[in-house]
Amino acid sequence: MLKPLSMVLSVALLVTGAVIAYPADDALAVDVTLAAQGAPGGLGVSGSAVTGLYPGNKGQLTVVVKNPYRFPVSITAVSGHLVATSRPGCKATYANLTIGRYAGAPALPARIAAGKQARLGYLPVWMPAKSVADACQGATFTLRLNATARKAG
Amino acid sequence: MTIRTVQAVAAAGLAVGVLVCSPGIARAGWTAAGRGTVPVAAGRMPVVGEVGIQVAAAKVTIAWPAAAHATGYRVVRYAAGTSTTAVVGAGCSGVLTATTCTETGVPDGTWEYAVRAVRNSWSGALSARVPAAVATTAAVTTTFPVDKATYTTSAWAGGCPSPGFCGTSTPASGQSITKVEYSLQSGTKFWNGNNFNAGSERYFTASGTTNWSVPFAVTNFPTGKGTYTLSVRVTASSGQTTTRTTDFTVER
Repeated sequence: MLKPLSMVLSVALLVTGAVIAYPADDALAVDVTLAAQGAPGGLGVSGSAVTGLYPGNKGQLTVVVKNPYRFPVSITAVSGHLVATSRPGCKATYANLTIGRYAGAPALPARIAAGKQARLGYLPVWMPAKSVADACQGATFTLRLNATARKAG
Repeated sequence: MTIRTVQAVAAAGLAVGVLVCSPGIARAGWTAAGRGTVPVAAGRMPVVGEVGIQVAAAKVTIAWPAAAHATGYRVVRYAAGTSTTAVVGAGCSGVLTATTCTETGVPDGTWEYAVRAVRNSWSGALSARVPAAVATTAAVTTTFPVDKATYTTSAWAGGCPSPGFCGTSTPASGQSITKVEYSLQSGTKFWNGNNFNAGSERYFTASGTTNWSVPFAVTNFPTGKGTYTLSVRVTASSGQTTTRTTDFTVER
Protein backbone atom coordinates (compact mmCIF):
# COMPACT_ATOMS: atom_id res chain seq x y z
CA MET A 1 0.00 0.00 0.00
CA LEU A 2 2.78 2.36 0.90
CA LYS A 3 4.80 1.56 -2.16
CA PRO A 4 2.24 2.69 -4.79
CA LEU A 5 1.56 5.79 -2.78
CA SER A 6 5.22 6.72 -2.71
CA MET A 7 5.40 6.21 -6.46
CA VAL A 8 2.55 8.62 -7.05
CA LEU A 9 4.10 10.99 -4.60
CA SER A 10 7.41 10.94 -6.43
CA VAL A 11 5.67 11.66 -9.73
CA ALA A 12 3.89 14.54 -8.13
CA LEU A 13 7.10 15.94 -6.73
CA LEU A 14 8.83 15.54 -10.05
CA VAL A 15 6.05 17.45 -11.75
CA THR A 16 6.08 20.16 -9.10
CA GLY A 17 9.82 20.54 -9.56
CA ALA A 18 9.31 21.01 -13.26
CA VAL A 19 6.79 23.78 -12.61
CA ILE A 20 9.30 25.63 -10.51
CA ALA A 21 12.01 25.32 -13.13
CA TYR A 22 9.82 26.21 -16.13
CA PRO A 23 6.60 28.03 -15.41
CA ALA A 24 4.84 26.63 -18.44
CA ASP A 25 6.78 23.58 -19.38
CA ASP A 26 5.57 21.65 -22.36
CA ALA A 27 4.66 18.74 -20.15
CA LEU A 28 2.32 20.74 -17.96
CA ALA A 29 -1.11 22.20 -18.19
CA VAL A 30 -0.87 25.17 -15.90
CA ASP A 31 -2.58 28.46 -16.12
CA VAL A 32 0.17 31.00 -15.82
CA THR A 33 -1.99 33.99 -15.41
CA LEU A 34 0.49 35.02 -12.76
CA ALA A 35 2.76 35.91 -15.61
CA ALA A 36 0.38 38.69 -16.53
CA GLN A 37 0.85 40.13 -13.12
CA GLY A 38 4.51 40.59 -13.61
CA ALA A 39 5.67 37.25 -12.34
CA PRO A 40 9.00 36.16 -13.82
CA GLY A 41 8.54 34.22 -16.99
CA GLY A 42 5.46 36.04 -18.34
CA LEU A 43 5.29 37.42 -21.85
CA GLY A 44 7.40 40.47 -22.34
CA VAL A 45 5.23 43.15 -23.90
CA SER A 46 6.49 46.47 -25.15
CA GLY A 47 5.88 48.84 -28.00
CA SER A 48 7.37 51.58 -30.04
CA ALA A 49 6.81 55.00 -28.54
CA VAL A 50 4.52 57.26 -30.53
CA THR A 51 5.37 60.93 -30.67
CA GLY A 52 3.94 64.07 -32.17
CA LEU A 53 0.24 63.33 -32.10
CA TYR A 54 -2.11 66.21 -32.90
CA PRO A 55 -5.88 66.49 -32.90
CA GLY A 56 -7.13 64.40 -35.79
CA ASN A 57 -3.77 62.69 -36.26
CA LYS A 58 -3.37 58.94 -36.13
CA GLY A 59 -0.29 57.04 -35.03
CA GLN A 60 0.71 53.39 -34.98
CA LEU A 61 1.99 51.83 -31.82
CA THR A 62 3.94 48.80 -32.96
CA VAL A 63 3.71 45.92 -30.52
CA VAL A 64 6.72 43.83 -29.57
CA VAL A 65 6.30 40.60 -27.62
CA LYS A 66 8.98 38.39 -26.17
CA ASN A 67 8.27 34.73 -25.65
CA PRO A 68 10.26 33.62 -22.62
CA TYR A 69 9.18 29.99 -22.87
CA ARG A 70 10.99 27.03 -24.25
CA PHE A 71 8.27 26.35 -26.78
CA PRO A 72 6.52 28.46 -29.39
CA VAL A 73 3.43 30.39 -28.45
CA SER A 74 0.63 31.97 -30.40
CA ILE A 75 -0.29 35.49 -29.45
CA THR A 76 -4.06 35.48 -29.45
CA ALA A 77 -4.90 38.97 -28.30
CA VAL A 78 -3.27 42.34 -27.97
CA SER A 79 -4.96 45.35 -26.50
CA GLY A 80 -4.12 48.61 -24.88
CA HIS A 81 -5.71 51.10 -22.58
CA LEU A 82 -4.88 54.46 -21.14
CA VAL A 83 -3.65 54.54 -17.59
CA ALA A 84 -2.22 58.01 -17.07
CA THR A 85 -1.17 61.33 -18.56
CA SER A 86 1.52 63.74 -17.55
CA ARG A 87 -0.73 66.81 -17.27
CA PRO A 88 -3.48 67.42 -14.74
CA GLY A 89 -5.76 69.18 -17.20
CA CYS A 90 -5.45 66.36 -19.69
CA LYS A 91 -7.34 63.34 -18.45
CA ALA A 92 -6.63 59.79 -19.46
CA THR A 93 -9.85 59.41 -21.36
CA TYR A 94 -10.68 58.30 -24.85
CA ALA A 95 -11.88 61.82 -25.59
CA ASN A 96 -8.23 62.79 -25.50
CA LEU A 97 -6.59 59.68 -26.89
CA THR A 98 -8.33 56.73 -28.48
CA ILE A 99 -6.80 53.31 -28.91
CA GLY A 100 -8.02 51.10 -31.68
CA ARG A 101 -7.95 47.37 -32.26
CA TYR A 102 -4.84 45.46 -33.16
CA ALA A 103 -4.09 45.73 -36.85
CA GLY A 104 -1.35 45.09 -39.32
CA ALA A 105 0.81 42.06 -39.94
CA PRO A 106 1.06 39.45 -38.72
CA ALA A 107 -2.59 38.90 -38.02
CA LEU A 108 -3.52 37.23 -34.77
CA PRO A 109 -2.91 34.57 -33.70
CA ALA A 110 0.74 35.26 -34.35
CA ARG A 111 3.37 32.63 -33.68
CA ILE A 112 6.53 33.48 -31.78
CA ALA A 113 9.29 30.90 -31.59
CA ALA A 114 10.61 29.71 -28.26
CA GLY A 115 12.72 32.30 -26.51
CA LYS A 116 12.32 34.80 -29.33
CA GLN A 117 11.06 38.35 -29.54
CA ALA A 118 8.82 39.37 -32.37
CA ARG A 119 7.66 42.63 -33.77
CA LEU A 120 3.96 42.25 -34.37
CA GLY A 121 1.34 44.56 -35.84
CA TYR A 122 0.19 47.75 -34.24
CA LEU A 123 -2.47 49.43 -32.22
CA PRO A 124 -3.77 52.55 -33.91
CA VAL A 125 -3.85 55.55 -31.59
CA TRP A 126 -5.36 58.90 -32.40
CA MET A 127 -6.52 62.12 -30.89
CA PRO A 128 -10.15 62.84 -31.66
CA ALA A 129 -10.17 66.07 -33.61
CA LYS A 130 -12.91 67.83 -31.71
CA SER A 131 -12.74 66.50 -28.18
CA VAL A 132 -9.08 66.49 -27.22
CA ALA A 133 -8.40 69.05 -24.53
CA ASP A 134 -6.13 72.01 -25.18
CA ALA A 135 -4.29 71.02 -22.01
CA CYS A 136 -3.11 67.87 -23.76
CA GLN A 137 -0.58 69.83 -25.77
CA GLY A 138 2.82 68.41 -24.92
CA ALA A 139 1.34 65.76 -22.65
CA THR A 140 2.64 62.23 -22.46
CA PHE A 141 0.03 59.49 -22.27
CA THR A 142 0.91 56.20 -20.68
CA LEU A 143 -0.66 53.19 -22.38
CA ARG A 144 -0.74 49.74 -20.87
CA LEU A 145 -0.40 46.98 -23.41
CA ASN A 146 -1.79 43.56 -22.72
CA ALA A 147 -1.05 40.41 -24.65
CA THR A 148 -2.27 36.88 -24.18
CA ALA A 149 -0.93 33.72 -25.69
CA ARG A 150 -1.50 30.03 -25.88
CA LYS A 151 0.88 27.30 -26.64
CA ALA A 152 1.43 27.03 -30.35
CA GLY A 153 0.29 23.79 -31.91
CA MET B 1 -0.89 13.37 10.44
CA THR B 2 2.12 12.86 8.28
CA ILE B 3 0.35 10.33 6.18
CA ARG B 4 -2.62 12.66 5.51
CA THR B 5 -0.25 15.31 4.22
CA VAL B 6 1.44 12.91 1.88
CA GLN B 7 -1.91 11.76 0.60
CA ALA B 8 -2.98 15.33 -0.10
CA VAL B 9 0.16 16.03 -2.08
CA ALA B 10 -0.24 12.80 -3.92
CA ALA B 11 -3.78 13.71 -4.88
CA ALA B 12 -2.62 17.03 -6.31
CA GLY B 13 0.06 15.32 -8.31
CA LEU B 14 -2.47 12.91 -9.64
CA ALA B 15 -4.66 15.70 -10.83
CA VAL B 16 -1.77 17.16 -12.78
CA GLY B 17 -1.03 13.72 -14.07
CA VAL B 18 -4.50 13.45 -15.55
CA LEU B 19 -3.96 16.67 -17.39
CA VAL B 20 -0.60 15.48 -18.62
CA CYS B 21 -2.22 12.39 -19.94
CA SER B 22 -4.79 14.43 -21.83
CA PRO B 23 -2.86 16.66 -24.24
CA GLY B 24 -5.94 18.22 -25.74
CA ILE B 25 -7.22 19.48 -22.47
CA ALA B 26 -3.81 20.61 -21.43
CA ARG B 27 -3.25 22.82 -24.48
CA ALA B 28 -6.68 24.34 -24.29
CA GLY B 29 -6.13 25.42 -20.73
CA TRP B 30 -2.66 26.89 -21.08
CA THR B 31 -2.50 30.62 -21.48
CA ALA B 32 0.11 33.16 -20.78
CA ALA B 33 -0.17 36.86 -20.55
CA GLY B 34 2.02 39.84 -20.25
CA ARG B 35 1.78 43.57 -20.16
CA GLY B 36 3.91 46.60 -20.46
CA THR B 37 3.59 50.34 -20.69
CA VAL B 38 4.36 52.55 -23.65
CA PRO B 39 4.42 56.36 -23.84
CA VAL B 40 2.48 58.28 -26.44
CA ALA B 41 3.58 61.88 -26.69
CA ALA B 42 1.25 64.59 -27.88
CA GLY B 43 2.60 67.39 -30.00
CA ARG B 44 2.40 71.06 -29.26
CA MET B 45 1.17 73.88 -31.47
CA PRO B 46 4.07 75.99 -32.65
CA VAL B 47 4.34 79.72 -32.24
CA VAL B 48 3.63 81.60 -35.43
CA GLY B 49 6.70 83.29 -36.88
CA GLU B 50 7.25 86.94 -37.68
CA VAL B 51 4.05 88.80 -38.42
CA GLY B 52 4.04 91.51 -41.07
CA ILE B 53 1.73 94.54 -41.04
CA GLN B 54 0.65 97.02 -43.68
CA VAL B 55 -1.61 99.91 -42.80
CA ALA B 56 -3.65 101.90 -45.28
CA ALA B 57 -6.03 104.32 -43.61
CA ALA B 58 -8.49 102.14 -41.69
CA LYS B 59 -7.34 98.92 -43.36
CA VAL B 60 -4.70 96.76 -41.74
CA THR B 61 -3.28 93.83 -43.67
CA ILE B 62 -1.60 91.16 -41.58
CA ALA B 63 0.51 88.34 -42.97
CA TRP B 64 2.40 85.55 -41.27
CA PRO B 65 4.29 82.39 -42.18
CA ALA B 66 2.47 79.08 -42.13
CA ALA B 67 2.91 77.09 -38.93
CA ALA B 68 3.40 73.34 -38.92
CA HIS B 69 0.38 71.27 -37.87
CA ALA B 70 -1.89 74.32 -37.93
CA THR B 71 -5.24 74.04 -39.65
CA GLY B 72 -6.10 77.66 -38.96
CA TYR B 73 -5.09 80.89 -37.32
CA ARG B 74 -6.61 83.48 -35.04
CA VAL B 75 -5.68 87.14 -35.17
CA VAL B 76 -5.68 89.15 -31.96
CA ARG B 77 -5.53 92.94 -31.72
CA TYR B 78 -4.45 94.71 -28.56
CA ALA B 79 -4.49 98.33 -27.56
CA ALA B 80 -0.78 99.10 -27.70
CA GLY B 81 1.12 98.32 -24.54
CA THR B 82 -1.84 96.73 -22.80
CA SER B 83 -3.38 93.32 -22.40
CA THR B 84 -6.73 94.67 -23.51
CA THR B 85 -7.92 92.95 -26.63
CA ALA B 86 -10.19 94.57 -29.16
CA VAL B 87 -12.82 92.85 -31.21
CA VAL B 88 -11.18 92.07 -34.50
CA GLY B 89 -13.26 93.34 -37.35
CA ALA B 90 -14.36 91.88 -40.62
CA GLY B 91 -11.72 90.16 -42.67
CA CYS B 92 -9.61 88.92 -39.79
CA SER B 93 -12.17 87.58 -37.34
CA GLY B 94 -12.67 83.95 -36.44
CA VAL B 95 -10.47 81.09 -37.54
CA LEU B 96 -8.66 81.85 -40.76
CA THR B 97 -7.26 79.21 -43.06
CA ALA B 98 -5.15 81.62 -45.09
CA THR B 99 -1.92 83.18 -43.84
CA THR B 100 -2.98 86.73 -44.50
CA CYS B 101 -6.01 88.86 -43.85
CA THR B 102 -7.12 92.47 -44.00
CA GLU B 103 -9.07 93.99 -41.19
CA THR B 104 -11.22 96.88 -42.28
CA GLY B 105 -12.75 99.64 -40.26
CA VAL B 106 -9.93 99.72 -37.73
CA PRO B 107 -10.38 102.72 -35.43
CA ASP B 108 -7.69 105.37 -35.20
CA GLY B 109 -5.08 104.53 -32.62
CA THR B 110 -1.98 102.54 -31.99
CA TRP B 111 -2.63 98.83 -32.00
CA GLU B 112 -0.62 95.65 -31.72
CA TYR B 113 -1.40 92.54 -33.67
CA ALA B 114 -0.50 88.94 -32.86
CA VAL B 115 -1.43 85.62 -34.41
CA ARG B 116 -1.83 82.17 -32.94
CA ALA B 117 -1.94 78.83 -34.72
CA VAL B 118 -4.91 76.58 -34.05
CA ARG B 119 -5.82 73.03 -34.79
CA ASN B 120 -9.33 72.04 -33.82
CA SER B 121 -9.49 72.46 -30.06
CA TRP B 122 -5.82 73.28 -29.71
CA SER B 123 -4.44 76.80 -29.71
CA GLY B 124 -0.81 77.75 -29.88
CA ALA B 125 0.86 80.56 -28.02
CA LEU B 126 0.60 84.05 -29.48
CA SER B 127 3.25 85.30 -31.81
CA ALA B 128 5.27 88.38 -30.98
CA ARG B 129 3.13 91.52 -31.17
CA VAL B 130 3.58 93.87 -34.08
CA PRO B 131 2.51 97.53 -33.81
CA ALA B 132 0.18 99.23 -36.25
CA ALA B 133 -0.57 102.94 -36.07
CA VAL B 134 -3.90 103.67 -37.67
CA ALA B 135 -4.84 107.20 -38.67
CA THR B 136 -7.72 107.61 -41.05
CA THR B 137 -7.09 111.28 -41.81
CA ALA B 138 -4.02 113.43 -42.28
CA ALA B 139 -3.05 115.80 -39.53
CA VAL B 140 -1.64 119.30 -39.96
CA THR B 141 -0.15 121.64 -37.43
CA THR B 142 0.86 125.24 -37.67
CA THR B 143 3.99 125.98 -35.70
CA PHE B 144 3.94 129.68 -36.47
CA PRO B 145 1.93 131.77 -36.01
CA VAL B 146 0.44 130.41 -32.83
CA ASP B 147 -3.31 130.50 -32.55
CA LYS B 148 -4.65 133.62 -30.80
CA ALA B 149 -1.17 135.16 -30.51
CA THR B 150 -0.23 138.77 -31.31
CA TYR B 151 2.98 139.59 -33.13
CA THR B 152 5.01 142.72 -33.53
CA THR B 153 7.31 143.24 -36.47
CA SER B 154 10.29 141.88 -34.59
CA ALA B 155 8.36 138.91 -33.21
CA TRP B 156 7.15 138.03 -36.68
CA ALA B 157 10.70 137.91 -37.94
CA GLY B 158 11.69 135.27 -35.40
CA GLY B 159 8.82 132.85 -35.85
CA CYS B 160 10.07 130.54 -38.59
CA PRO B 161 13.55 129.95 -40.03
CA SER B 162 12.48 132.44 -42.71
CA PRO B 163 9.84 135.00 -41.75
CA GLY B 164 6.39 133.73 -42.60
CA PHE B 165 4.25 130.69 -41.78
CA CYS B 166 5.52 127.18 -41.04
CA GLY B 167 4.32 123.88 -39.64
CA THR B 168 4.12 120.14 -40.13
CA SER B 169 1.73 117.59 -41.54
CA THR B 170 1.30 113.85 -40.97
CA PRO B 171 -0.32 111.63 -43.55
CA ALA B 172 -2.98 109.07 -42.81
CA SER B 173 -1.86 105.45 -42.43
CA GLY B 174 -0.42 104.12 -45.63
CA GLN B 175 -0.71 107.43 -47.44
CA SER B 176 1.43 110.45 -48.16
CA ILE B 177 0.91 114.21 -48.30
CA THR B 178 0.95 115.44 -51.86
CA LYS B 179 0.30 119.13 -51.33
CA VAL B 180 0.16 121.78 -48.64
CA GLU B 181 -1.69 125.01 -49.42
CA TYR B 182 -2.62 128.07 -47.48
CA SER B 183 -5.07 130.95 -47.61
CA LEU B 184 -5.12 134.10 -45.56
CA GLN B 185 -8.17 136.07 -44.57
CA SER B 186 -8.51 139.56 -43.19
CA GLY B 187 -12.07 140.45 -42.27
CA THR B 188 -14.15 139.65 -45.30
CA LYS B 189 -11.23 139.82 -47.70
CA PHE B 190 -8.64 137.29 -48.70
CA TRP B 191 -4.99 137.39 -49.70
CA ASN B 192 -4.67 137.45 -53.47
CA GLY B 193 -0.92 137.09 -53.69
CA ASN B 194 -0.25 140.80 -53.39
CA ASN B 195 -2.74 142.20 -50.92
CA PHE B 196 -5.96 141.47 -49.06
CA ASN B 197 -8.38 142.54 -51.71
CA ALA B 198 -9.71 139.20 -52.99
CA GLY B 199 -13.40 138.77 -52.52
CA SER B 200 -13.20 134.99 -52.25
CA GLU B 201 -10.77 132.56 -50.73
CA ARG B 202 -7.68 131.67 -52.77
CA TYR B 203 -5.22 128.97 -51.89
CA PHE B 204 -1.49 129.19 -52.60
CA THR B 205 0.98 126.33 -52.49
CA ALA B 206 3.38 126.13 -49.59
CA SER B 207 6.90 124.73 -49.76
CA GLY B 208 7.37 121.17 -48.48
CA THR B 209 4.81 118.76 -47.13
CA THR B 210 5.61 117.05 -43.83
CA ASN B 211 7.56 120.19 -42.96
CA TRP B 212 5.97 123.02 -44.80
CA SER B 213 6.71 126.74 -44.88
CA VAL B 214 5.50 129.91 -46.56
CA PRO B 215 7.73 132.99 -46.84
CA PHE B 216 5.57 135.91 -45.86
CA ALA B 217 7.10 139.24 -44.99
CA VAL B 218 5.52 141.21 -42.19
CA THR B 219 5.28 144.11 -44.61
CA ASN B 220 2.56 142.19 -46.46
CA PHE B 221 0.25 143.01 -43.58
CA PRO B 222 -1.34 146.43 -43.55
CA THR B 223 0.10 148.86 -41.06
CA GLY B 224 -1.61 149.07 -37.74
CA LYS B 225 -3.24 146.26 -35.86
CA GLY B 226 -5.07 143.59 -37.72
CA THR B 227 -6.45 140.14 -37.08
CA TYR B 228 -6.00 137.39 -39.65
CA THR B 229 -6.99 133.82 -40.21
CA LEU B 230 -4.48 131.43 -41.73
CA SER B 231 -6.00 128.29 -43.26
CA VAL B 232 -3.61 125.46 -44.09
CA ARG B 233 -4.98 122.67 -46.25
CA VAL B 234 -3.13 119.41 -46.83
CA THR B 235 -4.06 116.98 -49.55
CA ALA B 236 -3.31 113.27 -49.06
CA SER B 237 -2.47 110.77 -51.78
CA SER B 238 -6.02 109.50 -51.45
CA GLY B 239 -7.29 112.95 -52.41
CA GLN B 240 -8.64 113.54 -48.96
CA THR B 241 -7.97 117.00 -47.56
CA THR B 242 -7.55 118.26 -44.02
CA THR B 243 -7.65 121.93 -43.10
CA ARG B 244 -6.48 123.71 -39.98
CA THR B 245 -7.12 127.35 -39.20
CA THR B 246 -5.10 129.69 -37.00
CA ASP B 247 -6.24 133.14 -35.86
CA PHE B 248 -3.52 135.66 -35.07
CA THR B 249 -2.95 139.37 -34.77
CA VAL B 250 -0.18 141.47 -36.28
CA GLU B 251 0.65 144.91 -35.00
CA ARG B 252 3.09 146.94 -37.02
